[in-house]
Amino acid sequence: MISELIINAFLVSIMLAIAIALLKARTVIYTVLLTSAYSLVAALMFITLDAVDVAFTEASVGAGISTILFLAAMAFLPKKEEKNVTNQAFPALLCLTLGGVLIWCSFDLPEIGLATSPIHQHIVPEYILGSRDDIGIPNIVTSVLASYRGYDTFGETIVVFTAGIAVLAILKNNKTSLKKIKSQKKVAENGQ
Amino acid sequence: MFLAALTACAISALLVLARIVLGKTTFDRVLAVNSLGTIIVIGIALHGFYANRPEFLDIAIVYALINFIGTVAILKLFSTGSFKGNKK
Repeated sequence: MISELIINAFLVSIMLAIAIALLKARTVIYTVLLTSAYSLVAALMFITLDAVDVAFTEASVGAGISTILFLAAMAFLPKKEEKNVTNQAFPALLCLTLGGVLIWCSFDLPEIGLATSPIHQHIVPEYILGSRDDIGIPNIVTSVLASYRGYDTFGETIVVFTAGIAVLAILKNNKTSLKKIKSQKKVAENGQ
Repeated sequence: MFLAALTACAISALLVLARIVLGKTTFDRVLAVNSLGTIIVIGIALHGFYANRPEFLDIAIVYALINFIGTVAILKLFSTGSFKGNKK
């Protein structure tokens, strides 16, 4: 138990160091690399917290896909970031206040893994007992995701679908405008 | 034994972190991030050993693959300047 605490403290301090370095980074590629490293450490952190599926998502999306997407976007950006001249005292104060409130609230949380905590009392027994009769499938996780939380999943699907449509619309628009520019150029060349 | 491996992992992670933060060229940093990924793969394997769950080894292998793909993508971007295919 103690050694687990030490491991977690070590991982958190590494993440903190990366975050501080991230604040001071001024080149885009360095920022992307630091974000990738941060995601990797966060994934290990999630694994030590026994959330293997979250860790998997963090590693594949945070360290894998988003690094590549950032780099692809970076190809269109200038190489160096300008120094930020706006006042940063207010955002820092806001962050510190919010963090302080969150930490203060975390003292009221029930102990991790306690069987009598509210989340294990309120609706979980209903799911576990009723899954077979209500939905008719033996896998409780599937019945929770697909039926009990069907509205959640439906909403997520709508959000992802909308995002896909928006991206497609932007890309398509871009293509047609490029074509327009090209055809206008051609007309101009023919006119000359 | 477990403790020794864990300590070695932690020390190498710190060294690699120093390389990421202080690294002279971008390639040093790319290599350091890749090494950090490798250390984390070892960490996952160690944790699987510690928690008596050998299926964590599979996860470690997938992590290694993701790490490799990320590094290859970064280096491809450096060598070609974009992700477009090699058009002739």
